Amino acid sequence: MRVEYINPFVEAAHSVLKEVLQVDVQRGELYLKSTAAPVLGVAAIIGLAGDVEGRVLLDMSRATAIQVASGMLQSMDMEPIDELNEMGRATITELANMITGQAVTKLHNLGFKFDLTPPALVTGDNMEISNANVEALIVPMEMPQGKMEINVAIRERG
Amino acid sequence: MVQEAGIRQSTLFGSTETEEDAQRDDIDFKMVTFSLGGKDYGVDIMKVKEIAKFESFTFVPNTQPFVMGVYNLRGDIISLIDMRIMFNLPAPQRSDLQPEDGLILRLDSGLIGVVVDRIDRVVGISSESIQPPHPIFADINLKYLSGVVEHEDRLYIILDVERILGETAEEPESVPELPGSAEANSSVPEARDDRPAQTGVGTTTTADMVAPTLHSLSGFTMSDLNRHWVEGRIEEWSAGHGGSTQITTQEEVDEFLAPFASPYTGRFWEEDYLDAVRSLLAADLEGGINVWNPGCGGGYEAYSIACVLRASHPEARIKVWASDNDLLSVSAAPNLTFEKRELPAFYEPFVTEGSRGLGFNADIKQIVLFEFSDITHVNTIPACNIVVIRDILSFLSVREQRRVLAMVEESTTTDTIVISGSNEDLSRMGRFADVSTGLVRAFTVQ
Repeated sequence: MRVEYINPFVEAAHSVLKEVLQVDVQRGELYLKSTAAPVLGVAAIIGLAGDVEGRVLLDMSRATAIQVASGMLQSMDMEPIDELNEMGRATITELANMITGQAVTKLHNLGFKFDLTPPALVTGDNMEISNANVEALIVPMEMPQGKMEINVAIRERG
Repeated sequence: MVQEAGIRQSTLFGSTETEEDAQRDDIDFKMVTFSLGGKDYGVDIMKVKEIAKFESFTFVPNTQPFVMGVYNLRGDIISLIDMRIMFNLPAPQRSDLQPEDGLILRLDSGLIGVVVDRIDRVVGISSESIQPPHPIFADINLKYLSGVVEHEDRLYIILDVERILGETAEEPESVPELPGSAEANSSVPEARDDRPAQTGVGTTTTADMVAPTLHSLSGFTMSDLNRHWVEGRIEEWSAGHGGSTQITTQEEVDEFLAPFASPYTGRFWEEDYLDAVRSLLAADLEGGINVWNPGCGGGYEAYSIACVLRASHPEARIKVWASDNDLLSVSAAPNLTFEKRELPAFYEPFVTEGSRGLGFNADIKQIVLFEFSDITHVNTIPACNIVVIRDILSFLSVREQRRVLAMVEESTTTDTIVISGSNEDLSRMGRFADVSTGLVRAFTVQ
């Protein structure tokens, strides 16, 4: 993945999570993962198109998803949730939108043109995601609510 | 050879008619079994003085790599040998605090300690069930084997320790190749692939003994790609170190490998190297030039090739795909700045003064595209006319070396120039023809 793309995603993930949850967010060590990657339980996927092709995946366990969604809802003076209901799913989807949107804005400012697809939320156990021949950059984020991985796979258009 | 296997144990039970006892009756040979590199081996119990855990032994400098040092066995000083290193098997990284499993052997020449992966148990077998080693283990290996025996679905290779360890004292140069190592390798392909390649059966050279140390301390993997260099370097090393081929410490490994680096590693290519690169370039590249440069590090290589191409093909559409798995170096590469004195005169037309110092101009920056990527992952590489892959293959496992080269063969044409490390011979690893010129080691795909 082009090195110029890395920072916008790292910064966006960090600042959005910090802002919506009002907590201390620790970034883990970045690393690369080869094609097939297990998904922790709840994954929000946003496709990227334009100069590039790829996708961003927000990956977390179900418990973390409920905690994070509750945290976001509470910060807007709404009731927290105790299961991943429609409100919870919509909240996680919105989080993915916010992070990717902010990253893409930063990339625009650097002169890269990216388009986004609407997010899709996938939940289930023992899932694996594979992209043919693209390695993914993993940005791990640690919060009091749990661990979230921002999984970015982007390839230049040949 | 079977007959030489050692003193037979006398039977413990008188002969009775029951089947069980009949079986026990047959047990006339006991061996201590242990594992080395995932395979089972046995040694005649009569040769074993005791099973030991070695801790706090004393390192002895200037010995063969497989000699770990000396050990104080209740007042007797005995030598300690690592069988895994001796047989070129993968030895786990050892920590000083952890005791090592091993055996103390009583040989004709005295006591000696050997370190193995793990001691298994004592197995009693009938000497009749020992089969002679298969002739596939060439002559030199047969010498060190008492035989092969199957017991409870496991195959044990019985080592003739007297021959292996008794002789090495006199003939330090001819260390036995592991008996049946070819077979061991096929059953554990992963282990084999991460280890340096070995020569043909039975001819273990000094290079084979040095290779595991180079691999464990620097990640350097000896294979057909660089074997000739390692062999030449050992001669040079031995001449400069009073005939010693002792290479065990990190400093020694670094010093040994220092001349391996290609010219202008980590800095801009200079006139002599640039000239050679220019003479390799085909004239009709105006249609577009794609360069793949894995292991670009801080980007000096990628910028050098970009500038030489831009100078010789001012109108061409040029793309340099540079990648590295070192996030810190590669993220700094797009905004590389440098001092004027670092810069050979050739590059002056391509640089501009920025706020943070001298950097490349927008045209060159547009050409080079830096990616954070690991070459061992499955990735598509762009179809390219030029590949610059210097001193990176030698630090991959043999299997990865082959995979990457197969990928290069696939995504290139016969016009493609592959610039490799100066001491890496691609023609020994695939369909590559040597077209080196001057300082540049280069190949084309046949």
